[in-house]
Amino acid sequence: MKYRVRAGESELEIEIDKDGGICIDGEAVDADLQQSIDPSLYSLILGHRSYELRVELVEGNYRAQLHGVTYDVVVEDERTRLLAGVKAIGGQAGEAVVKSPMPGIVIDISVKVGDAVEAGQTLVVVESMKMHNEFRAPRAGTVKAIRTEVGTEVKQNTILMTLG
Amino acid sequence: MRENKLKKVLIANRGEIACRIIRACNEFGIQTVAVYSEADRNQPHVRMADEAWPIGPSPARESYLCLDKLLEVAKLSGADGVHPGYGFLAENEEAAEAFEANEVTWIGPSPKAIRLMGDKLTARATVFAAGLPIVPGTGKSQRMTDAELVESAPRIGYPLLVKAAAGGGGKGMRIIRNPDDLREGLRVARLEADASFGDDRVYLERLITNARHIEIQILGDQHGNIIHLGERDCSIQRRHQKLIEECPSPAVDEALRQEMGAAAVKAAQAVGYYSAGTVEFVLDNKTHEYFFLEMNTRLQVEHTVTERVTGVDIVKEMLRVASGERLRYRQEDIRLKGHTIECRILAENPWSNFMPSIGLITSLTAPSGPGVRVDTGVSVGSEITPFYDSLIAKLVVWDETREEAIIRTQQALREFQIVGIQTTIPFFLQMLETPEFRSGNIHTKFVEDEFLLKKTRNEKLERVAAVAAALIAHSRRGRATTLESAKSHPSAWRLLGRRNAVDNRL
Repeated sequence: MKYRVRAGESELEIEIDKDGGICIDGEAVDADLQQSIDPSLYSLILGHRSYELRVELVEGNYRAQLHGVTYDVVVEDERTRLLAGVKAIGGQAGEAVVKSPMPGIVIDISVKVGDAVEAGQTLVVVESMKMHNEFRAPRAGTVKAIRTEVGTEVKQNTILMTLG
Repeated sequence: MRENKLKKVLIANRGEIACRIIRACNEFGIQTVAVYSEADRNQPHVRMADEAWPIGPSPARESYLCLDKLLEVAKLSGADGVHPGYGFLAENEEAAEAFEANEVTWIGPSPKAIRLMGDKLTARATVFAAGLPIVPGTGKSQRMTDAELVESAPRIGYPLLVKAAAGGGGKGMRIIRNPDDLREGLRVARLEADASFGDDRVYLERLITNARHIEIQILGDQHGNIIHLGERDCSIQRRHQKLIEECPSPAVDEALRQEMGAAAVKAAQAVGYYSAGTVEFVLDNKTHEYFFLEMNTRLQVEHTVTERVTGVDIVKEMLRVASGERLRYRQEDIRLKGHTIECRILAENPWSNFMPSIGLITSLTAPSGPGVRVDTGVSVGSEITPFYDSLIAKLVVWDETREEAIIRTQQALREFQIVGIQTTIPFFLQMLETPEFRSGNIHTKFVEDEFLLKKTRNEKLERVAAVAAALIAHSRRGRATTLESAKSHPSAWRLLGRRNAVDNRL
């Protein structure tokens, strides 16, 4: 099976055959990956070089931590690549949705329905961990709907407003 | 084991500092009483204490800040002491008074000291009277004419700030870099101050542009003895939030240390201070002048740094002082040995402007080894909630020299694995690499004005991450296929591991 893998700025083609033999960009390598009883902890020995990693699944992709640095890794096989292509075509909508990237309490809404906003303009302020976080307009547009109010506790990915 | 008069201490706090205080109590054989909000039922401080009492809903104002609930727990549990930690009620004069009135010893300074140092203007006036330098300025109380302000400007020095007496939030504030601009600056500032606050009084204050945050740790007893434990340099901060603290400061030599230490002791004496406290100064990098900022009348997050270089256990000393013992150290006993750096590991995403990172800690490996101390209040299964501050661990690293301490801190940061949330670890790894930090040539605006977190490319590690993820994806795919065909056999990468183990046998 062939995989197209993006990790940070690197893009690699990794092929894994039926016996578990592995080729990176056409070059055969020795790779031995072991998962610990702690499910996010892995040991990888790659051509006798030993690495300890933490790998977790985040929103369908992989997040690997090694040497204190985090790498987001996207692994695609032929089928998922095809699906991703279809999604990209179908995903063009006229509305922009502003979501809260984290849970917290809405402490200020600086626009009202019908307001024209510029890209980067502050729309909502959410307090979390004693910090005020300003959420800005991803693009210029008009405020179509506000789905929250001041004082509301919001969860991660709660839709705060939509822009038209 | 040494005896302490206190028998049972209520810890009116949570997180790492609650755990820190519980440890110190245990070492004295003092019983501990933890409190917890709804969000904190499964946090380590609850499990570590001898007793645990619920105090209400998750928001701090409905739990950890409820003085009546804490007094009730103290009474019902029979606690004879209370340690407030930092934050919450730690610098609340009313809380200190109320506990004392209920015969529960406040493990901290007197309510009077908290009051005198709590109000910024009173504190400035108090320490100024005691002979401490404060940031040069005209003072904001009386009305001054433009002519009087212009006349006093040379004494203050440039650059200076014109500030609104009724001000706040930068309104009515002007930076003046040379004398020719002063009159116009005064005019504009007065207009803005009048428009914003209906009060056009303005005053002048020196603007220190290249400043360090240097603070002196104080320790005193109830018999009038008071000493300092040297300085901490907390110049690496972001939005006034300290990120790295170290001792000794690269900018403070022994003579300056003793001078600032003596000044801090004077400030503490002026309010009859006892227990642990911190006197904060701003130090001008260019002129080496220092000015009083404020005094924190509590245990601080970064007390650990001082503990490591002086060998003094500050929390245990607080317990001793609270039970009436005399200080066991004289000033000449205090020697700084080696160098310590603390990194505050926060649940914040350094890649997206330090946005809070909320979630479940699914796994955790803390670093260890010589000179490495980790104070944490979370464990696997801890939920990081939006209700409290984002500090999840303090990494405190000691070595003989600053250079070695930096190297050892980097090693410890690379070992630190926290899974499930984003942390400031990548920020520290890069900060410790900068020539500015390495040379010690830093100031309080360095993080905001000069430092840029970079997406550094490491092709080798990216390749390692890619291979691991591809093998995991392949294995998951294999498992999915296996389920479909209702067969069960070991996953593909386990087979691979075995195959390689056989191949590599010598």
